[in-house]
Amino acid sequence: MDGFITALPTILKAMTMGAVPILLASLGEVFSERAGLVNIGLEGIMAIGAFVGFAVAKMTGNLWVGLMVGMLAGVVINMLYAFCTITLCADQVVTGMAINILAPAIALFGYNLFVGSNSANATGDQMASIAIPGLSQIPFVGDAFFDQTLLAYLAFILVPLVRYFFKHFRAGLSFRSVGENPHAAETLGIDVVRVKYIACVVCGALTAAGGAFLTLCYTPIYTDGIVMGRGFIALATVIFGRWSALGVLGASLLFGFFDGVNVALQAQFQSAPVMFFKMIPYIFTIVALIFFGSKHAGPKANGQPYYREMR
Amino acid sequence: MAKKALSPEERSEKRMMVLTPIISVLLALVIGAIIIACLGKNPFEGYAAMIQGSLGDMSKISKTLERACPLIFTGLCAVFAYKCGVFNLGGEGQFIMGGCATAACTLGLGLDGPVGLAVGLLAGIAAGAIWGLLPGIMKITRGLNEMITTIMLNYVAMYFMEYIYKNAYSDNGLPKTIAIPQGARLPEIAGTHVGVILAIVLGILVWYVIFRTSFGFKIRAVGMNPIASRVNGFPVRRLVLLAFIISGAIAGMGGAVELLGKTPYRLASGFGSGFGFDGVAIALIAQLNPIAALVVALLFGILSTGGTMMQSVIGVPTAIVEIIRGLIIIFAVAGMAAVKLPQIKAFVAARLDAKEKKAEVNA
Amino acid sequence: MSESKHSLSHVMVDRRQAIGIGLGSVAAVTLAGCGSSSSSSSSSSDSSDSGSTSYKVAMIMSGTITDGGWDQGHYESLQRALSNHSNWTMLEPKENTADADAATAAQSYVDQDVDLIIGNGNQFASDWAEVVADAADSHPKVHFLITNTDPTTEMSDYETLDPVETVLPDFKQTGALAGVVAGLMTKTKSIGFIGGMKLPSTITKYSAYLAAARKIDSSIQGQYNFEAGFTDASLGTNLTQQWISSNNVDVMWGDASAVDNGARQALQAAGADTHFDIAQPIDIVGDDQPTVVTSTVTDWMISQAMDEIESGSFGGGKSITASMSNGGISLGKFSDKVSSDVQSKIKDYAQQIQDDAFLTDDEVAAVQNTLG
Repeated sequence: MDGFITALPTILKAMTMGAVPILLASLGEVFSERAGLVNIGLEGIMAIGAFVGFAVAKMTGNLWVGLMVGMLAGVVINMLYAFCTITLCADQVVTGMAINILAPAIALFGYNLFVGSNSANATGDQMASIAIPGLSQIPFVGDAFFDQTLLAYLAFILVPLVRYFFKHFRAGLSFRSVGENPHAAETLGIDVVRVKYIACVVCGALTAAGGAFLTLCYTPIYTDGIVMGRGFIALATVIFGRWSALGVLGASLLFGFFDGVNVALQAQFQSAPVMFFKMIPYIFTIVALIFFGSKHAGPKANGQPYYREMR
Repeated sequence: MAKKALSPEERSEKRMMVLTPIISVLLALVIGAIIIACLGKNPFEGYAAMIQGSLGDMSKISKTLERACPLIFTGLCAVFAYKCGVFNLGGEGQFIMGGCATAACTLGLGLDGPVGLAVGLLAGIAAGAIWGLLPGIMKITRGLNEMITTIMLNYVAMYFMEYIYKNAYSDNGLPKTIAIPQGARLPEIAGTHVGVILAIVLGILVWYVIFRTSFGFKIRAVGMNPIASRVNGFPVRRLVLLAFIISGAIAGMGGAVELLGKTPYRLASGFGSGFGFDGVAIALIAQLNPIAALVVALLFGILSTGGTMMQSVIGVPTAIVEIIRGLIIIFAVAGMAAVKLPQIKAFVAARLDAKEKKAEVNA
Repeated sequence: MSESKHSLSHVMVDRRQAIGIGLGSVAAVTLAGCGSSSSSSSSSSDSSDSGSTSYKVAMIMSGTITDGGWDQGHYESLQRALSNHSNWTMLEPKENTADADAATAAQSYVDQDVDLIIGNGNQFASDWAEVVADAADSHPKVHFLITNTDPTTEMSDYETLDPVETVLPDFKQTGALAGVVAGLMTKTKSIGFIGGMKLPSTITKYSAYLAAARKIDSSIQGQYNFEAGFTDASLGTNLTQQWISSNNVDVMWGDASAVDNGARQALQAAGADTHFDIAQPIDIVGDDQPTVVTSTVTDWMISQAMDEIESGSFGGGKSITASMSNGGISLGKFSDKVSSDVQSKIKDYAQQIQDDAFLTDDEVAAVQNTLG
């Protein structure tokens, strides 16, 4: 128990750091699923965001330009998904799957071209942490929550904004109606296809930002497989968080916490078979879904293609 | 399923469904060729090397078949589940657990000879079935989305396999298991292990079960419309659960076959990696037809072994083969969806009408 | 009922058509390949140049040549070897080789009669048994060099070891070098180590590292993780943070490529003037790495393998030992955080390590026995 108390601040730090990329991706997925599009291609979009963010930041020397172009690349890749699922009404799961195979391959190909055998290009720059004076001195939680990079603060600020958008904005409400019943929405004068495309733009941008966080704020390198299943975790947090911004925040933090516990256990029980510690976040996700995932929550027309009536 | 005379529209739609995957492959290869050309290499030389490296002689063909073998299993796993409306993305986890159970049984019990082979295969099938059953139970009792749970279980299986090859049956403390004893391995015919034949037979069997038995009809009915099936008195929950179990068992058998049939006959890091998702793609390109899945899996095997050859002969990054594979999937999915679109259907029908009229005029 | 049956048959593709799909797609690939095979023979044969015999070398790896660790170390070794063997040319290295394709990758170079195929690490030892056996008969010119592999324990299932050699660095020396640096640099008497994979070599390295550090100061404590993998950089960051806050670790040594990079992020965040990293296996000391004080560099003796192939003495399952005396193991540059006084001490100890007068095998084994 003593060991746990000393480890706790670091676990919390790992929790917030680990939660940010998942949070960004799952906020993107909330937009997508609210408009009725289940996008399991998050993993691939994050890989693109991570690579393009890294490479452009390195080329231009400006991390924010890197982030922006990375997000743009995420949007471009997600437009592929959008075109297939919205315009062509293709199966969403399979299209997402294809993105997961195609996008990391493109990222790796780009890495081969950009870095190749030139190891000088292999390491980029990092965003500096900004400690908020006063607040960051709070024991236990101060360092974890108030000594973050600007991108992490932005991700957390996004949560109330997204919540407000869906609750109080006309546009947010039309999003929800598209996800619940697109035909009814169409009769109300909402351009369903347009809303769905907008959802994909937002989803691609946010998810890619989550990927870019990995290379711009966590570690200054890109490796194939750097996303490590975070895109899939984000899918689970959306369900666990019941398609709401606050819920997704809580779910991401919980996942980050259990990942932090996993590392703390690995750090202290060094001769134990550590692979069982590594299972913890995934088993936790399943258990959490068993207890809190509901079959009735979620947009009703989620995952279904929308055929506009022929005229 | 009585044969019916098909209307010209239906026939043309079917023809397009057959043509789409072929065009997708060609299109993806063309784009791959453009990328290769942009790198200043000769794409024709590359594709020649790809064919040469995957189908050039008997030993190459047998290697390609062995590479395709696990993909056949995961592909069939996905086909069976999807026919019942179950999105099993856990083929990889079920495949891995199959391999783990096989290793644990043959190595743990010290079995050798045909007994070891049989027990190993059965253990693999059982473990895969159990790993498929878990998300099935979660779906029918708690309504959990199987896409999420199966993916999470993939990670759990991956780490469990680490325990098997690093701790439980490690070879001298190295991160790989002891090799399966000679006698318990799958025998070879013409340079290829018997598992390939098992996979092909299984493919035909799955096709028969799905399309020629009443059980298969119920499975398909549930996949098409669960509510109508329930109204018809089908035990929908039991059928869904069975689909989970059977598709898991197919993947688990794949893991067992891969371990018992393919060098190095060991579990090690990377065993089964990516096979599950490839299987999903194969199933969809094959339009959920088990026989077609066999062929698409073979195509993926050609891309893997031939792609490796192409990569080293003309000296391009490995990622190009991955990109081609991703493009094939995207094009096939998009193409098949497009063919079904009402506008496209109308366009085709109009062209058909015109043709018929022309024919009439000519006559 | 018949209604639903009808609608089902709509979606299904029947058997004949299914076979059609498949055959069609195979045919498509075949056509794309065959239509072009005429042009394929042109460029591959013109590499042989005038006069002296020329040789080809190829490298197969699991990661990339810029991974900042394992595979980059191998690639740089190959570059060094090529720089003093002008009659050797390198084929495009095979990066990101999946396990399932490892044997095919080797076969693809065998088919091209590459004189030397290098496999970066012992994961290739178990995959290549068949390829080596075939190549020994059909392509006698092809040789295999597998690194970090003990042929007696790891290649017992090979039919023939005639075209094979391995490279085994003296891990005791590597570990001891890093341990001496860590022992002299740590202020908190607490040091850490992250390894990517629990191999015998990893355990020996860590045991020698801690034993050597304790030789400097017997109160030094060590933390380790042997299973961090080679890609998850964030795990390196989190583990190191955990050790810094719970165990006061101030010197890290890594053997896990990208994960080491994560560890350096945590050290830097904790203060680059008080927290140090020893890099491995390439020399990366420089301004962009504020925490790295020095590097333990491994050279994979590819030069020697090339010499042996030229003279015809290569093969037979020999194991080349990389050590300090043949340049296989060395310490890299020092950063300015290491005072000249400490540098000269390190050099003294390094000489003792090279003469095997610093650390006994028993001392290493004593640490190893505590690892459980």
